[in-house]
Parts: sequence; structure tokens; C-alpha cells
Amino acid sequence: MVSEAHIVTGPLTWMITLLVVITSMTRCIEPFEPEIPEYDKTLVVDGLFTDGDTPSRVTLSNSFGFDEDAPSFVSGALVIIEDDMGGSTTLDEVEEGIYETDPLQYMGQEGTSYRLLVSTPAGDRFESSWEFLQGSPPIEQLDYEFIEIEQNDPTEPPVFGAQIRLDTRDEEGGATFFSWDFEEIYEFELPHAPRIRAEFGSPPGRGSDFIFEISNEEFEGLRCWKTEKSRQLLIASTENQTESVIQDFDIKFIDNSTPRLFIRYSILVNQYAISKEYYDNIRKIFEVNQTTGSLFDPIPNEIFGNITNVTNEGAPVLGYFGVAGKSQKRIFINREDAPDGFGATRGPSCELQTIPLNFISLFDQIERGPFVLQDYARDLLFGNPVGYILTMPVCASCAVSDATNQRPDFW
Amino acid sequence: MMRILILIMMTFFMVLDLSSQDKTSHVVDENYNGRSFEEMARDLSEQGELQFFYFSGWVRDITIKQSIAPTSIDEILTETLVDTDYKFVVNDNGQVILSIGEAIKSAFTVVDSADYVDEVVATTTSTGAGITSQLENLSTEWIILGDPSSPEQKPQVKLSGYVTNIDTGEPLEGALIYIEELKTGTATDSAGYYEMDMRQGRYSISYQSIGLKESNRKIQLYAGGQVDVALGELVLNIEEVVVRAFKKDNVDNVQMGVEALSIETIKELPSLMGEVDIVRSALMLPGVQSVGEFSSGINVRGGGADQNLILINGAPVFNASHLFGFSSSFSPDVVEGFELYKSSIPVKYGGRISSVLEIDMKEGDDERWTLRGGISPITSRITAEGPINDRTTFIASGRATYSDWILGRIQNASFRNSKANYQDFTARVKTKIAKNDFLDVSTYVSNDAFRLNGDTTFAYQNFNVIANYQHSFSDRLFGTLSLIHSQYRFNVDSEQQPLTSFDLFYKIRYSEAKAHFSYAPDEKHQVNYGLNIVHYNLSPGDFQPKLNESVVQPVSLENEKAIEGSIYISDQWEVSDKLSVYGGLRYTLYSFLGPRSVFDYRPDAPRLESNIIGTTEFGNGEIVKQYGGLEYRTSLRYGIDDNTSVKASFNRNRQYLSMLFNSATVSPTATWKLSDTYIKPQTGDQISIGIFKNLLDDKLELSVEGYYKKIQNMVDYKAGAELALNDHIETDVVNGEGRAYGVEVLLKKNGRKLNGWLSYTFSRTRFRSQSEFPEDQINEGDWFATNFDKPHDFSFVGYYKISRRVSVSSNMIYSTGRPVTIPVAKYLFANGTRLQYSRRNEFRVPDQFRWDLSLNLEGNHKRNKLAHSSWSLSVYNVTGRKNVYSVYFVSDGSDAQGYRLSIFGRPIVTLTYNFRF
Repeated sequence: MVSEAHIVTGPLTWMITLLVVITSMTRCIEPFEPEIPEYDKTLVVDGLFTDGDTPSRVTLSNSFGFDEDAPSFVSGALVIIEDDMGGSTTLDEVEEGIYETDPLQYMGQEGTSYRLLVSTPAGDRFESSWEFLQGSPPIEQLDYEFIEIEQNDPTEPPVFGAQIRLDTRDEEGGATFFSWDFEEIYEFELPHAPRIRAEFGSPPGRGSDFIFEISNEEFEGLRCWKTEKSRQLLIASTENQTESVIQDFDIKFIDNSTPRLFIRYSILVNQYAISKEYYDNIRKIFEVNQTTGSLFDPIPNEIFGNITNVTNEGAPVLGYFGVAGKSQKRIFINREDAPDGFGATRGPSCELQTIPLNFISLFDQIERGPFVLQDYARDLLFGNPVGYILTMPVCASCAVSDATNQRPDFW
Repeated sequence: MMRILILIMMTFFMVLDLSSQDKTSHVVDENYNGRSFEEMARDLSEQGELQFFYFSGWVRDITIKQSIAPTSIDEILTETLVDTDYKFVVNDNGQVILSIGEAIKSAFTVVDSADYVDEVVATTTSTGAGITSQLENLSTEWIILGDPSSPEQKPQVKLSGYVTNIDTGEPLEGALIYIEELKTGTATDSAGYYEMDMRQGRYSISYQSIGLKESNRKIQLYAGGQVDVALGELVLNIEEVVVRAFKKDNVDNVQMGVEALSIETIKELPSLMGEVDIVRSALMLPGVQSVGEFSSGINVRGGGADQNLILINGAPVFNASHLFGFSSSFSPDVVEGFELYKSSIPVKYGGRISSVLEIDMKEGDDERWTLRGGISPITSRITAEGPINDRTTFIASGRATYSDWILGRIQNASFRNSKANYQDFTARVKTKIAKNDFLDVSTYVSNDAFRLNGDTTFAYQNFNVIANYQHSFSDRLFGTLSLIHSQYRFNVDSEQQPLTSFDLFYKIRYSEAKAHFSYAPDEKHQVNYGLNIVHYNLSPGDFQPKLNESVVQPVSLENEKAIEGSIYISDQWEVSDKLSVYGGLRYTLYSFLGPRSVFDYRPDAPRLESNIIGTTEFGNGEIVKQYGGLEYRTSLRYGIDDNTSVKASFNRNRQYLSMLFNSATVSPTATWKLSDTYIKPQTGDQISIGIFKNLLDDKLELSVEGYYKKIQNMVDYKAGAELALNDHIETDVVNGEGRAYGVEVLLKKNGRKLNGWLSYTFSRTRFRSQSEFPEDQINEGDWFATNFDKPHDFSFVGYYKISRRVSVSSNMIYSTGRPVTIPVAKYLFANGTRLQYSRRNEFRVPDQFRWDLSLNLEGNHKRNKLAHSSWSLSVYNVTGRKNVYSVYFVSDGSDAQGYRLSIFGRPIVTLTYNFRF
């Protein structure tokens, strides 16, 4: 696996890799599931307040167990951001546990300090330390290059793909600590959008089953647009440099195993100029989430941020309330930008199945089985229906892939 | 006048005359050509200059051949005896001794039987040398004490004498004198003196001391007398040399917590990939542990990896491992063995609080030149040793990897341009300057270099040199003056990205001058005293841009300098047969010196970067901070019976130099740091008691030792501590105290065929941070297990000699898994799933078990073969158990997964070839 997150943490990182290489002849890695006794859920306050005209978000959730997939969110809390000039704003809960500012009413200003105040319905009050808003320089360059990455196993062919990189520079030198996140949107082919749909009587096969043609208005279309937000932690610091310059910072690598580069791809990178404390906090979180198994790894620790429980002093709170200057840049990569033979995946891999014109078996396949009805199978000579073509849901609907069939405005 | 002392030939005493190396020629003026040997002998004897010793039967037919006159007696005899079997020697006293076959090695005084031995001893000891026998082929001759014809004979006589080291002249304590006929013996005291009451008679007596060649005497006792013996270095011959440890040392010695392994034992242990590993072999001993299989550093009795003083031939080594801990950086061919002091640390050592690992370097062979070497899958090594002249010996040994071959075997694309290699080199020259003076100079260099992807390199190097000047002032007072320089450095450079290309340097320089004296005022006391002064100079970090495009900010941390002075004295006193005590005091004074900028922190606030309120400047040479104090080293032994003793000891040690690393094991870029204003010196107090018992006629040694240890001013690291290029380390560490306790049980078998030991250790070691501020605490200031807390540790080592050529050995270890910090939950942060870790070290990796085997096959034992060779086949981890080296957790934001990593998860078979010319 190619790690997409990358931080220059000093010489130790690659040394660990070397050690791993030296022992690669004999070493053996297996999944490990420790037995973990009951633990207390801990509140997580994750907020980032910026100076852009986009809403800023604070998420309140609880930590969750290894066997769980998603956290529980804390709804109905009073979330306030206040500044050192006497102003403040109350955030609206836009989704369960997610609170947003309204940039029309309250926007971050460079040179101002902010803090977060939270009161939960359970009656606990939390506050963050004061954080200073440092303006961000623009992203100097956001670019990509098609490169080959050799696999660790030499019998495997190298991985070919687009490496998206970023340069940034702060001439005034005010911004030293940076973090980035991004939002990708890509267009992909929906190979088998249904042309017909079935309605069954109850029970089916008694003459009250119908097939309807799908109108052009209702037609799902032939394209999907999928949005994905970054999950990795991307940070860098120019603290140890004479100039605040970052070159060729790896944002994202796209190989041909996803449909990202099959038709068109776009990435919007947000750059945040953050405080040293926030940077250190993310760095620590990054380190304990990317351990290598070497005994030279720093011993991992529980990591707490700048939020304290005022009601119940000493009670642990996870997360951080960060304040940052924000700048953005978007680029597009089109199919023709990829070299010949790049061969990105079209989209979902699909299987078609044809069954005879029989409502009962059709009902079995689509109501009880995994398939959806796509179209009639027709004879080649006259085009008369001779059967039903069934396909997988992922090939028939954008929503199944968490995508939309609506072209974005800027596309 | 001349007496032909045929039988008395056997009664001569050989006086090792240290100044006799320059032959004084005895000039013969007359030409005896054509005359009989006996005629010449009588003639010259009457002139009083020369004395002749021979069987009259030998020389009856010998005619003198002398081409010129005057000439030396040597010339005459050489010419005369050239075609005969007879050899001769002329010593300084003008005594000409004939022998058949082998020449008697120079320098003996022959005493006729009419002279009482006591008188001879008186005359010879007055010259400062003992009566010794060095030659094995002479040890079978009879020594006659007393005159059989004397009228005053007593049936009960006393045999006494001194046993000394032939090379240093130092008295050997605890040397064994064993009388075959009586099946009994005695041992020497601290002055090397022994005495025994015996009946008249003939006896075969053997003299033994560990590491030295056993010497035998056949003595005919008519009267009491003194026989002094000097034991020489053990010269490893192809013939079996049985080195027996002091049988009763375990019980009789006042020291406790001392372990010693000879290189012969170490070589018997199964090796990993053919690398005989000096330091790793110590892990088989009770109370010695490591964090992981492939890790550098040992933990002795719950102490940190940086709390061990590793000395090679007396000079400290700051990084004793190759390849990040794969093997220790000492070539086995040049090492004699080691002693590990776990609790009774002799007063002459200081500076580390857990242990002293003293690695003894071999001296060159003083008789012949030897070339030996070995080839394993990882390294090849070669050693040469021999006499440079008759007063100087030399040994040098080198070892190197064939890295390209190894890396070529590694099927990993990203490292095709990588290189990893290491070498080490050791050399020692010892010379006798004068009768009582030796100069001993040795050096040690080890090098490691790694190159990754052709754009990043990491290299580290140890270098040390030590010069010892030894002088015996008298039989009872010996002194050693030592000058030591030792340094360690590493450097990292990277050109991965031109913009951020850099060079990073670290260096520690250690210079020491030391005077040590050993004085035995009488048989009951052994006094050691001395003083030393150490100068430290550290460059803690120099970070520079490498390429022209580089924009990295050069950072050059201020050098750290300090002076540490110590004086010490100890007395080992045998109060009675049953009771002996060791009392020692060491006083150290440590000064951290300027130039230095010291940050001032807001008082009554946590030690954070944001609480720096100013800087205090100190000028060059100005004392920034001073520490010091007394260290007590005491132990006591009480013998319950001949085979049982109880011992107790109390020890205090101070440590002014510690290592910074916040990983489980010492990382390659760990740096040594001097105690300064905020990082206080560590102090360790240890109290231990033990019972020692020998069973089955000393074939089994059993010991049980318990200890409790308290460490002050220990440091641990805050979450995400930055240790590189940090000029305010104090903000990244927490201060605290450590405590450790445990019980060690050792059962050791000493036999001719089967040797080995079983050991079990129960130990705990914990740390507690001491601060009122939560920022300066770990686990809220509660006690928690350190990274190397492994409560149960069991090891077995056994080797069995099937025949003179074939031996097998095996070891087995079991230990509790080490503590780890692992995630207990997940949480959402920055749109990704992150890991929430437990408090520090709340979990453990699974228990460890490993079994190793090896088979050693010697080539045939024909003495005059050109090369002697041996093969060694070893299997590491016979059961292939996947011992967990580490567990780790990765979350890429979408999902979190835990892994367990085993490094040697299957048996590793290695064949090693060794040769010797």
C-alpha cells in the first residue's frame, strides 16, 4: 500500500524502513486484535474555524470501540465561538452532532484570537484555549505528474499513476505551520442505467405485474459524479527553514485502479495556516496512527488537545479547536491528460445476466436476489423482447456508489 | 670444586629473571679446541665464572670445537653441540645447563640440594621475582624441598608461596592449589599467598587461576619451604585445555551479582546467523533482559539501556551494536570474555547506575604467530596475533560485512540502490618496558554506514584508544596509569529533496586520565584506591543545509562540556575464615561548564516552552551547574560452611551522562546528554542479599539473590517529545523516580562434558513522574511499568561435549511479554478515524519463547596441519514460534487495523566456517 500521507519527520522515518527491509527475509506480519476491556467513552470536539467565506464546522462525537463502525454524535449542544474583541457567534446544528457557522454573519479575521465554548445537554461545559488566526498565503502551485512507483515485491509490475503535488510559499514568512485537506470530484461511467422498471402484483406472476419504460426525465443518465473528502492528515512545517517554502508536497496519488481518471477528475485543496500548537497536536496524532512496528517508533501516547472540561476538571477530552487562515485551489485532470494506455477503470465492474420473460423468476432475482432490472433482451433480427437483462445495483445507480448523477455547476 | 649435579639438575629452581633478556656473554679466553667437554667444564668452573650442570654420561664423548679465542661460551657450545641432541642455556649467573632435545628456556638459577630452599627463596625473592616455572615440559621435574640427609627432620612441614600473574606480576587472588594425592587444596588470599600443612612426601600439585594456564609441580617435601608460581596467559592450543572456574569462587568471593562468561562459553552458544555476539550472550544470564529480539541495549536488573557502562579493555563504548542492534560490535576473536557487575560494582568503576560490562581484550600470543578467521553469512573476520619481539606481543582483528550480497538477496525494489555495511577493528600491543613495567595500548574502531535509495545516508562510528602503564612497586603494591580517549559520532545526510537536503552531525568525546593502585598490606587486606578525571565534550547536534538550493535553517546546538573528577578507596578484608567484608567509597564531583545559555522558566509553572521567561548566559569555562557526592559500595560475606555462604551488599552509583530516546529500544539517532541545570544526574541505590551454595562436590552451584533498587532523577518522555536538535530538552521530558526489585535463581553445572545453567528471574521495574503539574506527568503521576518490565524470565543454556571434536549446545528462553501502549478505542478527527491510546504501558505483548540449537565440529587435531578448521551449524528458533517483536496499529483515516510483527518467525539455519593458521 502506498501511504498517501507524508510528513517529513526527520531521518528516523526512513531508517525504520531500512530496518524493516533488512529483516524482510524472515519477518512476518499478522493481524492483531487485542483484548480490550470496557473503556469509558470520551467526548471528541473537532473544530476548525477559518477566515474563508465557507462555513466552519465543529463536530461533537464520542469515541467508539474497535468493533463499532461509527461514533455516536452529541446533539443539542450549545456551541459558541468567541473572539478577543468581544464578538461571538452561536453555531447551528446542521446534522446530528455537526455545528456550523454562518459566514454571512460571522467570519474569521486575520490577527484575531478565538476560542470555543461548548455546553452539552448532559450539563458539562467545555472550553478551548485561545487560538490566533494566522492568514494563509495562496497555494502557489497545485500540479500533477504521472509517475511509476515500484512495488516492494519485484515480481509485481510497478504502479503507474498521477501524483498530485503542491507548492506553497509565504513571502512575509508569517505562516510557518500548514495543514491541508481536499475534496475530490470525479466523473465516471454508469454503464447500465435502467431503461425499464417492473411493478409486481401480490403475489407476482398472477397477471398484475407490469413493466414500464423509464422516461428521459427519470433516466438515471450515463454519468456519475462522486465527491470524496480526504481522511488523511496532511501537515508540514517550515519551522526549520530559512524561508517559508514548501515544494512538491505530496497531496494524493491516483492509480488506475479507480475510475478517477477515466473521464474527468478534479481536486480542491484547502490550505490552512495553523498555529504551532495545532500543528504539534496533529503531528502527534499522525505519529501514533502511522506506527511501523519498529522498536524505534516513539512510544505511542494518549493525545489530548486544547479543550478542557470546565465542569469536571481533569476529565479527558479528545480533539482540538483549531483556527486557521484558509486558501483554496482547484485543478482538473482530464482523460486526455493521462498517457496512452493508462487504462483507468471505467467504473463499477458489472455483470449482466439475461433471464427469460418470466415475472416470477424476475421477481426472485430483483426482489429477493441482488439484481436490478435494466432492459429487455431483444432478438437481433426484429428487436423483440426475448428476455430481461439484469445488472448489479452499482451499475445502475449513482447513489449506490455514494455519487450523484447531477453534473456539478463548475464542471 | 665443580660439582656435577646430575640428580640435582632436577632440583633447580627457575627464577624468572625479568631483566635477563639481554644476554651477557661470558668470555672464554683460552682455546679448548679438541679437548674434552669435561676438561673445559672443570677448568672454567675453577676460574669461578661459570658453573656447569649436566649428566656426566652425556658429555663423555664430546670434544670441544672452538675456532677462535677469546670467544663467548655461547659460541663455543653452539659450535660444539651443533650436531648433537644436546641443547644448552647460559644464564646471567653464569650457569650453563645442558639438556637433551629441547632447550631449557633461559634464565633459571640452579640451586644444589645442599642449599636449603628457604635460603634460595630468600635470595631470589630479594631480587623481586618469585620462583616460577613457565615451561610445561619442566613442570614434571621434581622440586626437592629440604635436604634428605638433614638430621633435623620433622614429619609435619609447611608448604607456602605466592602465585602471581607472569605478565603483570600482580598477585593472583583465589588461585587454586590442589594436591592430587591428598585430594585437597587451598586457595590464595588477596596477596596471592597460600600455605598448607602437609606431611613429608611426594606430591603432585596443580596451580590454577581463571583465564590462566594451569601449572603443575611435583614436589618432594623433606622440609617446609616456599614455592612461588607464576601463571601465564592461557594459550589456546589445539589440545584440549580445560579451564575450570574457581570451584568455590561463587561461595567464597565477597562480591555478589557478578557474572562472567569466557569467550569459549560464548562461542558455544547457538548463534544468530553465525554471529557470535558478546553482548547478546549476556541476555542468557539472570537479571539481564532486552526489550526485543532485534534490539540494541540490555536492561540489567530493571535499569535502562543507557545505565550500563560497557568497557572494552577499560575504555567506554557508546554504541555497542551493529546494524541497529542486529549484533554487538565486538569481534569474538579478540575478546577473552566479560564480567558483568550487577550489584557489587567495584569502586574503581563509576558513571553508570545499573551495571558494568567489562569486556576483556585478548593479549597477543607471545610464542608464535597465528592467523585465524571465520566466515558466516553476514560477515567475515580475520585475526592475527603473535610476538613482535620477545617483550612485545601484538593482536589485531577485523571484521566486515558483505553488504551488497545481503541486500541483493532482499527482494525489495525500493532498496535496490541501498547499501548497508559495517566493520570493526581491534588491536592491542603490550610490551614489557622494564622488569616491573608494562605498557599496554589498545584501540577499537567500529563503523556502520547505510545508504538508502542513493540519496540518504546514515553512518555512525565508535573510536577509542587506551594506554595503560603498569608498574609493580613491590610484591604488594601495583599501580596502573591510564589515558583513555573514546568517541562516538553519527551523521545523517539526505538529498531526497534538494530544497530540504541536509547534513546532521552528532559527536561525543570522552577523555579520561586515571591512576589506580592495588595494595595488599597483609594477607587479610586488599586495598584499591585511585583517582580519575574525565572531560566530556558533546556536540549535541549540528544541522546544515547540504545542497545549494537547500533552505533548511542551519541549527547548531551549543556544545556541552563537563568535567567529572573522582577519588575512591576500597578495602577487602578477610576478617576470618567465615567473614569477609568489602567496603568502598567513591566521591565524584561533576561540573557542567560554559559557555552556555540556560533558559529560565517561570517558577511554579509547568516546564513548557511557553513558560520560558529569559536566558542566563555563562561564559567559557564557567561552572553552570555542579553535582557530586559520595557513592557507597559495600558487601559482606559470611560462610555458613565450606559449601554455603550468605552475602549482602549495598551500592550507590551516580550517572551524569544519559541517553535520550523515547522509543522502546535505543534508536540509532539516540543521543547522549550530559546532566545540566534541569536534567539532574541519576542516582541508583541498590540493596541485595543472596545465598550461595555448592553441591555435589562443587559440580553444581546454586545461588539465590534478591535485590531492591531505587533510582532518582530518572526521566521519561512526554507525548510527541522532540529529541533531535532540541535546545530545551527539559520541556519534553518528565522527571521522576524508578524502582525495581526482583529475585534471581541460578543453578549452574560445571563438568567436563556437560556444562550449562538454568536461571529464573522474577523482576519488576516501574517509574513514577514527580510533578505537581499535569503537563509534567505521565499516567497522572502513578507508578507504571517501564518498557522493559518483564516479570518472569527463564533461561536454560547447556552444552555437551560428545567427543573432542563434536559438541552440541542449546539454549531456551521464556519471558513475559514487554509492556506496550495500544489503542483502546477509535474517534473521529479531521474527517478520519483516529486511534485513542491507553495510558502508558497498560498492555503487554504475548509471552516469548525461543529454543536454539547448535552443533560444533572441529577439524582433526593433528598438530602440524597447515590450517585448523571448524564448522558450526546453528538453528535459531527451532520451533519457528512467531514471537511478537511488536504490535502496532495503523489508521489511514478510513479504517484502523492492528498488526503483530515477528522478526524471526521461522527457524534460521546458519553454517559458519572458521579457520586458523
